[in-house]
Amino acid sequence: MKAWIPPLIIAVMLFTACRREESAIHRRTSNEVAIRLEAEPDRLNPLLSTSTYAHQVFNPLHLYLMNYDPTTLVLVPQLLEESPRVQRLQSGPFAGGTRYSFTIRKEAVWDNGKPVTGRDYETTLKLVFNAFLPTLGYRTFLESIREFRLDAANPRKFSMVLNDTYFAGLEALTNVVPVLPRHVVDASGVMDTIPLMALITNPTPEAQEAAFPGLKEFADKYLSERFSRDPVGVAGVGPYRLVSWEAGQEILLEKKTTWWGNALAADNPAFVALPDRLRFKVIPDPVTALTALQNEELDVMQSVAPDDFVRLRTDSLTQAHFAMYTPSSMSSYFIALNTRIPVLSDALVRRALAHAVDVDELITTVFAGFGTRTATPLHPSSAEYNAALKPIPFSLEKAGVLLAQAGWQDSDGNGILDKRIAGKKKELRITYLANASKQSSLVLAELIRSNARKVGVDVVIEARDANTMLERLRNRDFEMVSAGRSITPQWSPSQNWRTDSDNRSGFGDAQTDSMIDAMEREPNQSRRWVISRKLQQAIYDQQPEIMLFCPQERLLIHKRFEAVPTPVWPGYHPLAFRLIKR
Amino acid sequence: MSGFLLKKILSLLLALWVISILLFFLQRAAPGDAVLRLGRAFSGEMYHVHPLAAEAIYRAEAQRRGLNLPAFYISVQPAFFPDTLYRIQYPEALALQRALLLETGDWSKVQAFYGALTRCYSFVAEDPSDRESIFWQQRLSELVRVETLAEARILWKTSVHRLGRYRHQGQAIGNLLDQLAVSRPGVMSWLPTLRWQGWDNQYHRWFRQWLRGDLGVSLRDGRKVGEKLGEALPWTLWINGAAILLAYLFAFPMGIFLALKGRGRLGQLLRNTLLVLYALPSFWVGSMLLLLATSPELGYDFFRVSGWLALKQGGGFWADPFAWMAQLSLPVICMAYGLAAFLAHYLQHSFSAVLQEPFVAFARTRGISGFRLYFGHVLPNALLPQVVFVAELVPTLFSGSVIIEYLFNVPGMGRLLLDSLVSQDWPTVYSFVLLIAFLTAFGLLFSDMLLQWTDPRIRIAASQSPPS
Repeated sequence: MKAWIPPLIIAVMLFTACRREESAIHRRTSNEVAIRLEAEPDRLNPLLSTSTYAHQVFNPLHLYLMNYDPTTLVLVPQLLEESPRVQRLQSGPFAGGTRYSFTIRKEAVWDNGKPVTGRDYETTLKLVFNAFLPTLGYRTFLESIREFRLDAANPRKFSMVLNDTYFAGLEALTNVVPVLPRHVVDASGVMDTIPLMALITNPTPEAQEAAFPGLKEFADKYLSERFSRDPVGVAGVGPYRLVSWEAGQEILLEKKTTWWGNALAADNPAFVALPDRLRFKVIPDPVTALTALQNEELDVMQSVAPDDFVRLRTDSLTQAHFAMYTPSSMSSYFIALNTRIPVLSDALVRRALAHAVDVDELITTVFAGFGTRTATPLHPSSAEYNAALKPIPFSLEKAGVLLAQAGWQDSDGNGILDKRIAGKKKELRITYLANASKQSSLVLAELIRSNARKVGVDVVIEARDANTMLERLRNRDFEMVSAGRSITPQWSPSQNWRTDSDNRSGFGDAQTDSMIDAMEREPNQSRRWVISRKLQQAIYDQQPEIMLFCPQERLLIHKRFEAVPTPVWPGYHPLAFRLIKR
Repeated sequence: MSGFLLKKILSLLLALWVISILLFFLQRAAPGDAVLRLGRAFSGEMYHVHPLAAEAIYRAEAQRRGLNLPAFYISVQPAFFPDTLYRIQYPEALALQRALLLETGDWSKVQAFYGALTRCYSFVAEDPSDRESIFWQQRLSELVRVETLAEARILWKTSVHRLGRYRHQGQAIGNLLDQLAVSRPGVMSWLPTLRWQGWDNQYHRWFRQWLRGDLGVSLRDGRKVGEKLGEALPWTLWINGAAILLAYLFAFPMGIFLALKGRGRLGQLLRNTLLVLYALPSFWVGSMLLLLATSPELGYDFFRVSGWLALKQGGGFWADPFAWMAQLSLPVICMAYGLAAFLAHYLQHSFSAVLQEPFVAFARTRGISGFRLYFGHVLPNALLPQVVFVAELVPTLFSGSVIIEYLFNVPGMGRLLLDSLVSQDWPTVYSFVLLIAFLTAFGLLFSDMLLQWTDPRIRIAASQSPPS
């Protein structure tokens, strides 16, 4: 026998003997939730952050005047004592407008013991309208404000007037930005003498600099690290405070020891805050994150890759320690078609392309079945959804018929349809813009390309990085592009479907604009939904977007916590995680 | 020697300056606009619904970043280009005016046309919303985005019948379009003109700041770049330093063994193993180690992927050296194995080559043998070529590996570079690349000096070479 064989056998035996055996005992037992972040936030400032992941981290620090209940998706008072009084104004300087009167809870106090007042919210709005801060995106929701009035007798009372009646007006006024502490963000009172309406009516930097010379300097200070990473500078009235932020590693939040909201939690789910600590760990690589999860270094992981999720369903170690959830996420995927370009200006061609997309195959192949088809921009589970509209079925035959009806035929026998447009032969060739860094986007592109080719449409795939894609979308420099959007509890089509809005596909006309206007101004929900369903029908008929599906979130939550998934991103509400005592 | 040193230093400084200029222009050529990437500030909503407000805020932000200055000391443009084109920062405004200028060559008319467009837009935007004002806001926004004069004229022609109450403002636009249609740049005006833009330009500001040690502020999170590099550097130094040390600890005995005793089957097996190690890609090895050594699925989870923070907070290496070694081991192995294989192979060849030298045979005849011969005479000569690697090792020590740090979640320089590139955080990318360029230059200089010092043949040759 060769001399090296026995030592080799012993080495293999030793190696296999050193395996750590599975155990059902949880490795961590503290009341601390460890959450994975795919990328590090840029800032923890709700007005300045541009990172999606920042929201997960700064939300426990702040409260809104009203907020959506994560389970029922109903807008409920949070900092407010009750829903505001709403009054339509028939006369006076704001005739035709709507006055909202608010009262902040008497229990709500800042960390220094001082009460939360209307002045705090006014200061927050002044930050939004400071032209030197990159808060432009919030102004669309709030620029209809025509008056902000503080109650001289009661600092917790204030009112705001909007210039019209908007069904989403309450959401805009109470749920767009949280209430920030005036004594922190404007400790020296720079904005005290600047009326909010002056900032709203003079929106350009030049006008504001001329009228209020100190505003630019104030904005420069507000953009500093202090209000983005410092525990004092990012503090809010919420149940948690920032303890530490180790760059590239983790962010630790700790529950405030004497938080006023604790007394209200029993009767009001908006104030439930059970974990002692929230530890957000930055782990960009999904394989590394999954390994950390299986080692119980994490308690929650969202957006698990579909194939991994399916595999973990049969992994005994994972099943021993983790519960798996697939809540519907309030988001949808679609393919936008730029109707401004001649080839895609014909609704028949767009409908034909919709028939050429095998969405069921896509859900099965790329998302392992975790998705629900949708036919409109709304979630199919929404009561507002037009259930009469069925998802466009995959049918190459129907696609061919529609293209023929639109006048496209293969006159030269090269397999690509063509048509004479303005005297010139034009081939049916469309460029598809895909996200080069997302595998699912590339697979979708390839699926579309291969099916479209079978009906004579030549789809050319252009893969670009995410930043370039965003810029091209903004400039409407695309023909076909896959995209996603989050679905809000209340559908407000004016942002994306009005002809003069951020309407990427170029959908619509005066008739759909007036439908949207009527919807926006209809306070009665039933009547509004009737108009909404008509609008959904119009979108469905025109097919400016090929609606794909609403994905299901894929979540793993440690069994040491009792947790209920929610449809609101990221699919769980960590503040409601209850530690199960063993 | 001092003359040589001075010449070397001057040429390296010149190289660094050229690298800084190339870097500066490369980032300007990269797709994407750093100001527009302020996310919500320039969401499609604001961009299309309130373009004038978006433009005003863009200009204010661009001014804050110094983007309202000329890019460089000189500009090279056709003669009909104005020397103040850099003052137009808003991308759409710049793209439109530049496109029309290239077609027509008449800057004053192009400027007047754009001015008429924006005045008309402001006038229409102040009107109450009705079908006509909405139409004209849209049409004027589309006009700003045209790429050619012909496109603009077609768009105007198809809309002019709807001017209505905007006839007066619209007339100026129509007239200017007609005037632009008959303008063409003269042939001679295409000749490139060199223009001095002054000392106050973007590059000069940035480079002067950098020389003063102010690396700037990160565009991503507003933190000082120096601080970010300072936080990331220790982790990279630990991993790369340990990897280099481990690589040499392995390579030295292996290389010498192969040179002295490597003729048999064992030697062949070891050489093949080294070849395989050298060929294995580190991202694959890292992924395998991650799955095999940290994942509990197979039961061999002796290492953890997170724990860097615990090390940092635990009080330094000597407070808990075993924890440090455990945490560092996987990434260090990934960094070291390829380098170790290469160094062992290289040392084996240089050692074998020196063994053939006549002086070795002479030493043997004088009775010098064994340890004294190999380590006293052969090894110092075999190590001489290794001095060249110093030039590469110095920047390697600081630069970090993007793949290894990403896989093992190390908050080092490699991951910082990747995050900065993805988020187009150019001040951080600049500083990082310039730092590595500086270290490479320093490494080259140091290895040259070391070679001169260790190899008397080079010193003698240098002193005997005729003055240039």
